Amino acid sequence: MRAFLRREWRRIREHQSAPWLLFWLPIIGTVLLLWIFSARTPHDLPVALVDQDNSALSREIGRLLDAASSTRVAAHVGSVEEAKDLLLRGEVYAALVLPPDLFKRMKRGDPASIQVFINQQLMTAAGKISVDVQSVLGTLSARYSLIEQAQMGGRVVSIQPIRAELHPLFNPGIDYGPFLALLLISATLHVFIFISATQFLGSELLEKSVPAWLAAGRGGWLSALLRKIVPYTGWWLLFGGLLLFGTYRWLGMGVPEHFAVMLAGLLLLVLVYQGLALLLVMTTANYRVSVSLASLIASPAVAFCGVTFPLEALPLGPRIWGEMLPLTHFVHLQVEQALGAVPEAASAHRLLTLAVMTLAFWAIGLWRARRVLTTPDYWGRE
Amino acid sequence: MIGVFLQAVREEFAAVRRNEGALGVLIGAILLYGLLYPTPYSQQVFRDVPVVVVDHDNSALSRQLIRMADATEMVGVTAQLDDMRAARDQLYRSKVLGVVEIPREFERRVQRGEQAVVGVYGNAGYVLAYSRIAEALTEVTMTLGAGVQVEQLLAKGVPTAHAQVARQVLPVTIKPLYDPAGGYASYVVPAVLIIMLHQTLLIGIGMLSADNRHLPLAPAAGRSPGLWVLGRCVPYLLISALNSLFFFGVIFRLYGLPSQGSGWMLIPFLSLFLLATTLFGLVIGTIFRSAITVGQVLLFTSLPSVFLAGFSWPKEMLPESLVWLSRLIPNTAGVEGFLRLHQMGASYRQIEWPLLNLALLALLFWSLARWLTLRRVRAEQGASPKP
Repeated sequence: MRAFLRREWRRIREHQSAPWLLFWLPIIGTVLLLWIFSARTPHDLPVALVDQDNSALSREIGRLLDAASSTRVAAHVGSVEEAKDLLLRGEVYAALVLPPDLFKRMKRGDPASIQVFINQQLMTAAGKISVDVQSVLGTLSARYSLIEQAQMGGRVVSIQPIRAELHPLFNPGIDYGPFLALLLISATLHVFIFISATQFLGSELLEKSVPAWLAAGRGGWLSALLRKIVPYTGWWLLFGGLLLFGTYRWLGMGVPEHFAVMLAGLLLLVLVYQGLALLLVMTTANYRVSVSLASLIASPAVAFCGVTFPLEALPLGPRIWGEMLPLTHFVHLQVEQALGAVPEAASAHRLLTLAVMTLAFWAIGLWRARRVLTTPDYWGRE
Repeated sequence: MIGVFLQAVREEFAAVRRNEGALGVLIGAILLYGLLYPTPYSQQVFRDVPVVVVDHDNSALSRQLIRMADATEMVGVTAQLDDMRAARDQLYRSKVLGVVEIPREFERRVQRGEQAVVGVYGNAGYVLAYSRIAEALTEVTMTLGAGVQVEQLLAKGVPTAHAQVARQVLPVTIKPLYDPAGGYASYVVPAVLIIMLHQTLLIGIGMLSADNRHLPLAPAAGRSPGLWVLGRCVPYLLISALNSLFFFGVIFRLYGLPSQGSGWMLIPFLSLFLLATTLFGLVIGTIFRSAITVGQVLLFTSLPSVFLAGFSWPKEMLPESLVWLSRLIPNTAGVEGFLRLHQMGASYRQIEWPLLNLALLALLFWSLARWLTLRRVRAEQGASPKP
């Protein structure tokens, strides 16, 4: 075993990209993503106020908007044109237009409508602002309605007879850290597990170093193959575990309640992608092709895995592809176990799916490896 | 002088043609990703996020609520269950993404003039799906509540017009601009196409540079390094021009993506963006020794660059130092300017800052590439001194 480790260490030192794939890039990627999402949830997004009313009411609206978490009145402008210019310049995300005589007309019972222009192209921001603005104006409206009804005499009718009480589960603060940063970090990790395995296996074939590889120990091609791969399994479990669990810690998610389930998930993530790498390399026996295929599968995986955009909402083709990606099952397991505290039994099927995929990929990979590793014809292809 | 420029063009074209890998990235990847990437979002709106309902009331009003919820595009009621435990189980198993709980005495409370609260439990681990559920149920309860209010006022003999008004004294009209349908594809795809142009250029140029790093540089490069660098850009600009045509002519039309500006208006902006990116690529390309490494390293930058571009994660939320660093990459200003120009219909005046950013970057990278070329020529001449 030690001979294999020595040999592998030598290969890592010889190949320029290896330390980057194994260590530097995953860490830089993780830190970068945590840095990007350090604000955790969008807040104080700049909006413009077109105040054509200049009353106590309009000033109150301005104050309430500033107080709302997602908005901040960054500009007071006189006309809609100016506001639209600010929108197109990207200086504000939305513009509220308070028409002239807003306050007077409201008291008269002849209300003028407040227009809220929102930049829908920047959808995340638009959604937050829309909810907060409607909430602010809705509450204000209810308060004035209450006053008016009292003035009309008689019993006041309920302001809001039916209310939806929202319970965001697993992520009460709608925190983008555990939701998006964690997803992207997991995706980044999986890319390197997958690509590094493909590259390390493929390069042995390309460089025709297979005989030296097999000769490093006693035993046949199978034991040589396993002894080459296992150190990396250990590495990714350790290093990947550190990155992921460190991220949980950093984001305040704490240690998952069912730690063993999460750990099993991580182990399966590593094994399944090593298996897929083996499959690709041994079936194509071509370095560039296998690495390109691996990149093709791994890089868009985030879009298909159903966390940002639900699997249910995908058209059939992409949905099937998404379900076939091992990453999908891992990240959903992570949402359930690390983000939420779902009972273990509920996540069991994710582990099962990953296990089945692992077995399938390894089985095919090993079956092909037997031919490829013992037939020099397959080596050196690019 | 022009001779140097033309020679650079010729040699770079030859190099590109020879290198299948680079061609594969510059053209093949664009075709493949361009066609495949938008497919998950091709339905634009994601409809019918699955929820279950637990109705403890079983009244006409509660049934109306359920009907209204199911009728919304955003949410789909997959089942009605008897108790919260079964519902919670479905939530945990991710069979549904939300649970709506209607309490006992729901209708009676409303009739008595009290407030009735409907519990909406959503899996906020999936933020987008959760916000759909929240929006839909908030809308439904408010609409149903408003209807109830109007009825109650009418029952008191309040005239209809007055009743409508009393319910909403500050009417609000939300006007979504630039992407009125709020489609997910029109939100994501245009920006991602720009990022793809950027990344494939960097990877393609990087691969080529890595593969050719052992080849000697033509002495002409030493005479006019600045023009040599510009000449090298030409093949890449031409290829990206074709790719852009494919993106904005074919892909946009294929997926029915909206746009405010015309395609032709894009040309000056795109040219500047592609020039800055190509020059950036020429600079970056000198770092890599192996073509495969280029792919891996630059691929890994794709995800962060999406979230630095400011269209999904607001720029105001990025730490300031990171904002400044991101401006060093043409991608950032490219996405910013493009979205405003093409998707939002801004004028060139209104995108002056992204334009300035790109122009400065082009200048910076051209100078750097020029200096690197000169340095390499000198190193090569030093290694093999002319007789």
